[in-house]
Amino acid sequence: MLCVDNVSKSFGNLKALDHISLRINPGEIHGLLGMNGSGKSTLLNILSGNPLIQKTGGYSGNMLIQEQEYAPLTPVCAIKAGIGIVRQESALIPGLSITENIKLSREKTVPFTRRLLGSHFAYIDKSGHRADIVKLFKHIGVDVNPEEKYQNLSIELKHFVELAREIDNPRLKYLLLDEPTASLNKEDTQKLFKILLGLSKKKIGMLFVSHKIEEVLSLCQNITIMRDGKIAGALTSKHADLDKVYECMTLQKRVKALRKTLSSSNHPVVVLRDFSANTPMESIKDIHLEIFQEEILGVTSLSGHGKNAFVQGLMGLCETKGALIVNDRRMYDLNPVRMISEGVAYIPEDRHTMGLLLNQSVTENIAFAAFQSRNKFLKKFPFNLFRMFDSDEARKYAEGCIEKYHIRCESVAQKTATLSGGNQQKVCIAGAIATNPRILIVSEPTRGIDVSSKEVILNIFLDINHELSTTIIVVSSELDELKQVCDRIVVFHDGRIRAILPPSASDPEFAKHLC
Amino acid sequence: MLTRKGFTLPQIIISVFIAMMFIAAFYLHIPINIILNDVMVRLVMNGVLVLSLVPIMNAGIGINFGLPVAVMAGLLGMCVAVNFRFNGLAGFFIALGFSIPFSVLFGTVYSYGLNRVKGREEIASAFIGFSVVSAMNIFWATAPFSNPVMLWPIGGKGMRPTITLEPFFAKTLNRIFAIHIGECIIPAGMILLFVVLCLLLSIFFKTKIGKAITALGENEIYAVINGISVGKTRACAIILSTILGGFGIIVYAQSYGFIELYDAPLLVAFPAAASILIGGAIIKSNRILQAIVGTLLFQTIYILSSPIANELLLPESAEILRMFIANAVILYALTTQRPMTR
Repeated sequence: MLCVDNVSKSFGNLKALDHISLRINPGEIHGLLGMNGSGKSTLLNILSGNPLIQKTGGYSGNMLIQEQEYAPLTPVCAIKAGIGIVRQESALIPGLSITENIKLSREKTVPFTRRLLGSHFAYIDKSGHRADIVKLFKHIGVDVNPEEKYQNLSIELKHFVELAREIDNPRLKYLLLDEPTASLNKEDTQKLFKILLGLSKKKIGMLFVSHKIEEVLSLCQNITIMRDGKIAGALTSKHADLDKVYECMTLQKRVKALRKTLSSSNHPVVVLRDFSANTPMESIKDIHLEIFQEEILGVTSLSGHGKNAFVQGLMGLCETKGALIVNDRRMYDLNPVRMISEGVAYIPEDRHTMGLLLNQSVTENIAFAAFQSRNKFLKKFPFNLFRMFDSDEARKYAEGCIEKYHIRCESVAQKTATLSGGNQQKVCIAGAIATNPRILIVSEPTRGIDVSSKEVILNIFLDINHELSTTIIVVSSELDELKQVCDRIVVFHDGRIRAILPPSASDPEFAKHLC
Repeated sequence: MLTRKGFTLPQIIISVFIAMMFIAAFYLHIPINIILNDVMVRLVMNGVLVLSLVPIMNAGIGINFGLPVAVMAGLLGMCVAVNFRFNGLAGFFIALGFSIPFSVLFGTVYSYGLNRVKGREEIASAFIGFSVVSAMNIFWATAPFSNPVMLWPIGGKGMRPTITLEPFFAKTLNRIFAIHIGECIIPAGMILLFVVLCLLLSIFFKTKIGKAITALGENEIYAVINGISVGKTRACAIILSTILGGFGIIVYAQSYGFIELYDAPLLVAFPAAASILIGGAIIKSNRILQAIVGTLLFQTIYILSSPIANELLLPESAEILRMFIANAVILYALTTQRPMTR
């Protein structure tokens, strides 16, 4: 059994964990729920021996594995004790192959060379590795080429490779999963659950950390709910339901964002004819589509089937062919500058690498796009010689955004790197809205975001669509959220439009077109 | 790296080191007022060159080891001014003005080169710098200047390696608005020029292009998504750095009193790099402040170390110690800095 007893941790004056206790039995899948900033990640960092914990003063309390004291100072200590972790952000080496990544630090060597040269200089048994990996992926039911470089994999496959690396560890006793389904669609999520249930049968205990309450309820036997660094509740899935858990997490009743009236405009603002786009991971071909003014259009597909190529193609971020007409103007030489000049704003799926200036303040991030592309927040100084950034006006605007979009931060001067995922996403959205976009393209808007922030974000989309008449294209693998806010949902399959469905269409109907 | 009172380890080490040198200077009867005077002069003499590294660093290109490219533009500007016998403060500003078109031209070509070696700019810039010095050696040997003070006395062709600025604008900036307090002279004119340049650069980084450069330096993909042209923005930062570098060598030369040609600018980037790196070890956020504080500290160490070394060690050891300090400071400062984000 993995026991966590009265573990507390502070970062300066901030109490991140306050006397946390929980038990995970061998073979149990234990759910851990909580809002962004509730302390889940800190607990995972303590359990996995993240050096950050020691650098920031360590923790208090006790932990036991199989009744032996467990106090990991480094990740190596955690691995030796049988703890594995699959992180939300990929943590493997991009330039190495799948096989090399999985076997890194656990290499099999050719026995003869090991005897001759010692274990450090022994020759790696490549064929043995390959055979192991093929067997491993066959066992978990994922189809990959073991020689493929990690950097060339889709985000979904990267997650499965990270999981496979932990499963391949013969010492593994307890597995920590941080938002494992954040970037997976329903099909891949089911595949993951199957793998986890298989591990459960092998008596491997798991801590399943997620924002998706439904998934935790369906998979986990016991659920611990955290709020503000404390245990807010411990439930068994038999005695819990979605509303009860939501209330326990947020101390609020659940109110779902919902589009009340569908758009009735028939004036197309974006028209695609014979449109094709190629990214290294996927492509779309011969797309014919009209997107109407004030419409909220959903776009979905399984991974690798075209939804990302669609959004990147629209923004001119990859190679494209065919005609794209925006606001009745044909876009030749498609690129982001051209699209922005047509009033398009883009919120990318990866906030950290594409969506934010992490070392800049909330104000800078909110004001940047509008300052650059719409000449907002400009002051002329001196004598119109320089057109400078008006930091006072930007600060006032950012303060307004904090209130309007419920961005939780110490002040507008706080660096965005230190905000939680949900608040970072709200900053991205506020920055895009500051440009007064005619068309807003949003990719995976609620990935890795807690349930409360998710509803806030979806409501923001509904509000700007209503108030600013903005056409919104939401690209997401979350069918439920698309159904909540969209007028129509485009389903891509194998790079082509398979169907355009109303939000009222049933799940089986979507599944039929997705697969 | 943070201590309990919030000071970083590099701040403590550097402060203790300078304090120890001041104490040593006091005990060895080395006049402190002359040293302070030298520090102020050398702050501006070198400060503009260090300041020229800021735009390029903010654009995420790294340390501009190709500073000789900018220096060549400045030298050409000065040579043209000297060739036409401009003198006094006007001569100095005319030299600055003449350097600008050369800087824009050199900066444009330099930016084209650096944009082709993205990700390896620091090492590429070092080699570009070395190549430019060699290429310009050919130019200096054949340059069609006509003022005899610039040319070899015998034969009358080719530039002298060292050209005196005494009849033209040597130390004009040092003397203007100079305030005499006892034996200490505060070169207020020099300091004023340096402050104006720092302010202008600070204002520049609050403009659209300045903000775009900073964003590009931090996150290139973010900048692209927000409609910023990577190539043009980087080119703008490089040209601005080249213009400032050209100004830097003119300020340096007028204070030094000589124009030094041929191989003299070969290693000009290293003390400047050491200064900004040591500034970066002290101040985290603002690169302009890093340049100012770094130059001040580096020059203080430089000036104090030489007389102390002369007193305590062999008389000739000062120059050896200077080189040792310059390179050791680069190495030390690098160990205290986190890798650049892109």
